Amino acid sequence: MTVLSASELGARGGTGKPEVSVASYRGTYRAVVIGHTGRGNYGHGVGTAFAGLPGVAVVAVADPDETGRRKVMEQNGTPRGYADYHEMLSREKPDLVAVGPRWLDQHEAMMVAAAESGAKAIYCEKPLARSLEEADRILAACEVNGVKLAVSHQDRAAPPPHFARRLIGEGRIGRLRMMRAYGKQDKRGAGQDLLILGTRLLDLMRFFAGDARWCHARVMQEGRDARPGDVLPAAEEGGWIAGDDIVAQFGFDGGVTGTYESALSSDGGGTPYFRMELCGTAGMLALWSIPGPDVYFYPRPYFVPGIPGEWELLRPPPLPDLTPPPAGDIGFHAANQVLVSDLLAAVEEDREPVSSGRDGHAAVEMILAVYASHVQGGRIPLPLTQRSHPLESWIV
Amino acid sequence: MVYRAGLIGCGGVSKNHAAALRAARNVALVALADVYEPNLKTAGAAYGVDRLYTDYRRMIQDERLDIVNICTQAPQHAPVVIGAVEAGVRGIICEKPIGVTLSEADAMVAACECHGVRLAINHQTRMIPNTFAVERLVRGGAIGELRAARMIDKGGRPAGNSLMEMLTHMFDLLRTYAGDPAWVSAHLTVGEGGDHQGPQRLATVDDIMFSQEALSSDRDCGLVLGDRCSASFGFAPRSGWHNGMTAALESYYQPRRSAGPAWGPTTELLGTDGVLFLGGTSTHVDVHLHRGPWAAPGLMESQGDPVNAMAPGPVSTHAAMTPHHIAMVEELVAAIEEGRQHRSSGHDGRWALEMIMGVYESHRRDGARVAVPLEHRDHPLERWLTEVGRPLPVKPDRRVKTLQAVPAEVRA
Repeated sequence: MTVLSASELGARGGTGKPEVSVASYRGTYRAVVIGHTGRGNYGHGVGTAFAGLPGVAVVAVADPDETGRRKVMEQNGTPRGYADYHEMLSREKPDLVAVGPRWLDQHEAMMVAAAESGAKAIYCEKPLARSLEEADRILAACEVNGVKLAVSHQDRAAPPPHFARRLIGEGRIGRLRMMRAYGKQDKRGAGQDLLILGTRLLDLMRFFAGDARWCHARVMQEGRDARPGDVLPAAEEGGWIAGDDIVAQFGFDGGVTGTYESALSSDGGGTPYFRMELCGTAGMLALWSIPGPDVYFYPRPYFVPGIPGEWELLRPPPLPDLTPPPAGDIGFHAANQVLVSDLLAAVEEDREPVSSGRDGHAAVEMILAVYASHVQGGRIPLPLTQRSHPLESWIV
Repeated sequence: MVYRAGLIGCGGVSKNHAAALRAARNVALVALADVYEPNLKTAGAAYGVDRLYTDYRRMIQDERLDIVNICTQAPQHAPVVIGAVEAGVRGIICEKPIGVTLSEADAMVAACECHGVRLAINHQTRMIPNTFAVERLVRGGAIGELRAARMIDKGGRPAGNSLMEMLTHMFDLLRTYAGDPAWVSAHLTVGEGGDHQGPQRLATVDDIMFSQEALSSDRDCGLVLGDRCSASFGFAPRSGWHNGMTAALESYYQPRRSAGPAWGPTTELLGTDGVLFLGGTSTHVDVHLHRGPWAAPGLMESQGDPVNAMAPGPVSTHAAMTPHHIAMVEELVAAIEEGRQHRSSGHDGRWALEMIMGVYESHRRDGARVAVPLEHRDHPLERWLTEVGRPLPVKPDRRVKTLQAVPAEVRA
């Protein structure tokens, strides 16, 4: 096996046509931002996702923390600030609401309040919720109030997955059969990784293969099967998690299978671990270091060591810059803006956004299916019949 | 001393075994047995053996055989092994899989133990030098603590058939490196509308069939089920081996590969400090060691020991197995003389079948994790048929496979 550099791989550009086009919307929108500094802040660029978008005026920011609120008001050029988001929603009557906090304990309350405020659309930090009960209620509130909901799974706006999906559609790897996804596996390995970053990988599996129909997963703790008493509260009020090593198999329509792995790694893990491979009957595509810019093609159904020089680097064109990213952006701004533009177009066209609440809900369902399968001790069909958190019965 | 050896079952697979029995040190191939006389005569001429029998028991007694090599089809393994034990042999090499049910395997192992006969099951990949090298690397901590295995099957046949033909090797090797699993969960599907490459549906009791119905060119391996298989094996922490691990398997009914080193079964052994990529088939094991953090395939460098002792490439011919078969025979002689188990013992062969039957038992129970060794020793698929009141499927009435050298008029 040889180490291949990008130049050795012989980088090939994409077709020149952007893989992700920015949806066009016509209307003007009054937007507000809900954050909570110290309790998940404004997520991954969700607080500034609206800044500079044509026709979108960010009229207010709510955050109980004054310093944090002022900072985001400045970034967005926002005139008004509120400590209480309920007050902001009733006074401002916004069209568009960003729900920013990474912490999940307030997601349901914030989104239900936003849905009931008369807003047309909500853009929410991932993951959607801590449990299926919460996720169900969030979707129901949006449904009843006719609100479009989009979740910040930025990969759905990133060029590599779209490029890979187009190549699959064109038959470049034959028929898709197997997906392998690996968590970031840093200090958040296993349960925490599954919740925070697994939501993106599992969402990507659905992006390529549709809905998951079954799951078998094993959750391990110190080398043995996790058991009652091993349940922990996730960091940042993320609900219940368990395990230091997780291996999950999913089955999708059409006979496609997907494997997800994450463990607390001895070397600290990190971005190089975070990736996905798409294996077809005639070749393989790799999205290494998500959200990296590249897609790799390998002309065999799966990796066979010892045959060097076969990886081909394909470079899809990057995202268009809608507005300059704010200082400190680590690559989420452009994707957020693509997703928000699409959300607004979805409002006008009365369709589902490309990264919809349903997609966010399905990712939560897959995360919880991992625990449901382990607790039950076998394969479990999706959707789950049990809506309460599968680990609740294991809390000692 | 020279061990007098006989070969039972003179079908296609017997060629390598005959070559191995002739080549092995201190072993002489003196007699052949087959119920099908045309094959017996052809094999006698081809292998240079003139003591030919249609009754293997008579062969063992008349020829005072020490060793027999059993190359019959799987349903005959148990009766022939037990018959050979009763006829007085000291050592047996039996083709894989050990049998078609665990109760057969139990009876075989018990008969051999009771009579002090050394039983070896022909998982010859255990004898490949690189298999020893991988064992040393794993045990020596080259990849840190073993924590997961990812397996992709060779394909070329339905997953149900592959379980008995190819995955029996992969399961056996997995046990060589990781020890005994504690449980299995499995999911079997079949292609909708008979298109096994296309969309899949859950395999049902109605899809159970005999192996030669599923793929006519395969051997008789009893009842099988499924075009594709996803399975997980859970391993408990085991001192000196690993601190608990999980093995995930994907088996696809992919088309048989064309010539060249295209692809085959792969096993990735993932450790806390490195990865071992194992390629190859039943003829060779390619080993690639990567030390350090696991990186994307193709961006990892193979480092360290020159473990890739065997040339990779298109060596997937039956003749390429002969060195491993010779090693199987010589190991049997050593096991007899040293009074110990063979490196690929009946116990090991039964464990591989345990994992195969665990796949079926789990699928029958909607993918529930089932503990191995299994409690029930009958065939899970037969029990499934019985429970829902179905008769056994019709077994294809297939002629005994003839050796290629059999004259056309005899074959007709």
